[in-house]
Amino acid sequence: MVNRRWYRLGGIALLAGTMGLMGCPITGNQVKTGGQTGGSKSAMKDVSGETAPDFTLQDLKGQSHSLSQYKGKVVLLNFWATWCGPCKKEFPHFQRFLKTYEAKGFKILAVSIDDARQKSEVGPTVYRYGYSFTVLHDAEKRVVSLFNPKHRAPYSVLVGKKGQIRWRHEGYHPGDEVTMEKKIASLLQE
Amino acid sequence: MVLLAIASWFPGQAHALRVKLNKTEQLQIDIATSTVFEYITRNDTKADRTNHGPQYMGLRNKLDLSVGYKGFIIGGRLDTFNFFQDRHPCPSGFLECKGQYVPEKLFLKYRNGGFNATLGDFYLTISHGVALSIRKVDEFGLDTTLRGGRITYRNKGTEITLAGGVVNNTNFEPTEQMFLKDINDFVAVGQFKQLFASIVTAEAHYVFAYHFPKFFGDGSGELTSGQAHVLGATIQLHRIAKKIDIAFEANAIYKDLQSSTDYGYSFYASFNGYFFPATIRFEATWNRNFAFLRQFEHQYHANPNVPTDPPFRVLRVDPLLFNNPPSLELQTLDTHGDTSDIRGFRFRVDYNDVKNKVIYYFNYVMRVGFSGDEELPRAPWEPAPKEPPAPPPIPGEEAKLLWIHHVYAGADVKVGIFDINLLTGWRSTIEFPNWNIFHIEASVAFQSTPQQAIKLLTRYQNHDKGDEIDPKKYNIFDFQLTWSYSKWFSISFLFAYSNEDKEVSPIPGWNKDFFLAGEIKVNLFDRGSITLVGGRTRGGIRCTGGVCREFPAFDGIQSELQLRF
Repeated sequence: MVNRRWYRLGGIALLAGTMGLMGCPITGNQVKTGGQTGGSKSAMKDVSGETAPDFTLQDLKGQSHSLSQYKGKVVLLNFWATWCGPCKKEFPHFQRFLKTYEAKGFKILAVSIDDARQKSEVGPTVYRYGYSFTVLHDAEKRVVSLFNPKHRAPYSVLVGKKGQIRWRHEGYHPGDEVTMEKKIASLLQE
Repeated sequence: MVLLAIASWFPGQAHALRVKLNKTEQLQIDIATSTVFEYITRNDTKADRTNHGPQYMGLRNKLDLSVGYKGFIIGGRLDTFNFFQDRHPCPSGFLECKGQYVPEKLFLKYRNGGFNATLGDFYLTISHGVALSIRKVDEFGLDTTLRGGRITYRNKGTEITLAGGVVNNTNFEPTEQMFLKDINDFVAVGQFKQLFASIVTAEAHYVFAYHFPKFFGDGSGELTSGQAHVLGATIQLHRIAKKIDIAFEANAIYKDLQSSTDYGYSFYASFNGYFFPATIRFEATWNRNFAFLRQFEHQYHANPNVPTDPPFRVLRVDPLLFNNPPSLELQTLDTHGDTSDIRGFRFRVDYNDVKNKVIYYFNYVMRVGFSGDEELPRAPWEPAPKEPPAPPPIPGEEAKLLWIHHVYAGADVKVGIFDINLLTGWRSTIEFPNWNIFHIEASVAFQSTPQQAIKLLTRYQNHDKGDEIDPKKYNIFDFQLTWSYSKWFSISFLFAYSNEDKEVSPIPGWNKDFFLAGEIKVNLFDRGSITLVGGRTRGGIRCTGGVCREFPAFDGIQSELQLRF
């Protein structure tokens, strides 16, 4: 009985807390839609967003990359792993995005969340295809915990030019790249 | 339903909740929840979920909450789990069985330029994971952190890390649904890393661990206190002639466990050559008595109807590895996880046939090591352990030298709208006992329309295990078909066959060979998802990253609601 009561109370508290927060001046949900709500169109016109936490990670060449150093660019932050099949299906699309949009201010940071023991596996998994996007290694799961606490893979985050998170997406099914490309193109136009 | 309604109020955007403090400043609040409800209709599998009834329900929740303000982030996770219809309800006063609320992963982080500080829980890994790897094993939900403090300073090519804390393992083991005690050993780390001329990274590290004395729950045993020291260094050469990466790591360990002292060492080297269209990988490792671990307890509660029984018993004592060295093996077949006394190498070559959109690859692994607690022979210059020499082994029970040869090859093919992955291989383990595995897997994915995609995955393994006295041959077959419609939902059909444990089936008339299940996943506007699984899925041993768990077969229904605000 006690447990049931606690569950009930916990649930009510969570909902009340959430509702209470929603009653505050929350700008995250104030989408400038131009007459529409939801969907990709509203995303294109939205200029607010959650500030992406800054981080520093090393790439496979030993160079440090901070998210903040790419302010002014649209950044695709992708969390992947060598053991993740769907992750690798996204890579050809990433390379195409990079080729199409790099000159317009687009950057890809592909963050491997493999364990440290897999370190030597990370580079070849990407570079055997001849891809050229930047690959970072987050063996300590320090960065993925900030963006994706459940450590799901693949998991993509689009960061706008002002350093704000504009889109999140979990998993990959063929066709997802179409939506992703639309988001990238719209953010580059802002 | 209320949660669903809330989710629907946040369509399509990826925004945390934000509270404006004034015109320029705001709090950023991030909430993520994962709620699992399951009804296990049969709990008679060989994995030890003995604290639950033959049919029981479980309700588990993980609530992640973080609040960010300027350079600060404070957060944590609240784990709750509750089981209903337990076979043996918990005695009063023992909270391990029901209604647990466990705060986990509490942290306060601060970042200012190259300076990072964390107070609370954090993961910590050094170089290739040989010296230390306090981490989460995502696939199994085993989540270990250090609870203490950590500071990292980076400036140009320099990085310095100082950290210390107690080992905080997750208290709920989701695979077997049991409660685990915290280990609480103290670990401290110092690490210095320097990049020279953009091509060489040199790194030195020291790890200290203090093992506090442990007493098993039922008084059946005791682990003494002790210390361990690990000293090591890594050299990495980046893109020599724009084509080659080389890494070399060496570590030495000294253990003083009161009753004994011991030494060990580890060498690891890797070579990656990017000669497009070919990519070459070579790894080698040489470990001698390099074990860095601590035992922890799986517990269950005893039958309360027998008053002489202690309220809790130790079901099993498992090692929790403080490190996670490279094993050279394919992750999913890394069934010999103990790397403390192995020597071996691995060679892999990938070739990209760009014209035909095919990548071919070939891999060979050779490993040698001892089974059991034995170690490889010491060289004359290696110090002997302080404790007296072990008594001669009992004939027939001595540890055996095991050899592993694993060869596998595959191809990743792109044909029109089809993505095809093929992998096949053969692994031979000699003397552990003999264990030969033939494995083959294939997956095909294609996009039928811009919105719809179909994926087919099949796996087959043939195992031939054991010696002449105790032979065991079995097959495992997995089949998965998934249809997804745009980003909104997917439906999967799962079929499996396994005769691995046919002989232990205790239910008359229940054919344990075949497993059928279905899964529906609905995405909630990138805010989360609802997943429903029903049917029977195959259990058995699953390995990843050097950790293997014995999964019980699942028979029942499970739903998971994930939300993020």
